[in-house]
Amino acid sequence: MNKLAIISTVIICFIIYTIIPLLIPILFISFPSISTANIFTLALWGVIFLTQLVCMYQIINKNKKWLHIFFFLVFISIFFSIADYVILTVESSENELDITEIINDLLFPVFAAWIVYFSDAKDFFNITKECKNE
Amino acid sequence: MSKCSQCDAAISFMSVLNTVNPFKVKCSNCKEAIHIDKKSGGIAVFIILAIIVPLLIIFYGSSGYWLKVMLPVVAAAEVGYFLLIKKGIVKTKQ
Repeated sequence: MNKLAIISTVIICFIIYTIIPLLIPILFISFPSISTANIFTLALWGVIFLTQLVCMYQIINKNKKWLHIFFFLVFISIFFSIADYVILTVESSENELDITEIINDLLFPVFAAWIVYFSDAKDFFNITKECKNE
Repeated sequence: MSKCSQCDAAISFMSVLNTVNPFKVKCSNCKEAIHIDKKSGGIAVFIILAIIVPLLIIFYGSSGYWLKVMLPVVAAAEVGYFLLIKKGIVKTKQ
């Protein structure tokens, strides 16, 4: 059960915060006018994608160090997403900055991090306890 | 009131909150696994899910979904399950 919780949490975070942001520049880059911003985003998320793939392999092998790297990259993705929202809101004088939207964006990753770091699922990385439970 | 069979400590809210398996809670005092009765626990989990899943689906996509819908609903479900265990409605295996 702990393994299922960890792996499903990691996969969901990987899809939401890496696969989807990676697909967006790929879809736009197919158009004739390729902007530098798109290429930069694609390169950045390409590196994050590959690193997270390695992280996921290591996490399945119960290597907790890679979990820190994985969530660091997840929070980088969220930081960019929130920064994007803040910049767009500040630039357009019509909309006001809504703090609840930022908290709303942060809640799921915080919840995911809580599952892997603080819930009983963290015993997955503790080999002796996991064996005892099984 | 449901208690740990090993150390006789009462099951805490954090034990219920921290578990990923609703049928196995870890005692916050001695860290031993407390097994929840599958029949009463299963009925409780089914009823709680039958209430929260439609709520989460109905309000999905609304503004501030995670903060205004998901967080209170999941917290209420956790508190509800904890109270059912605490009151002894959901039994623990001895």
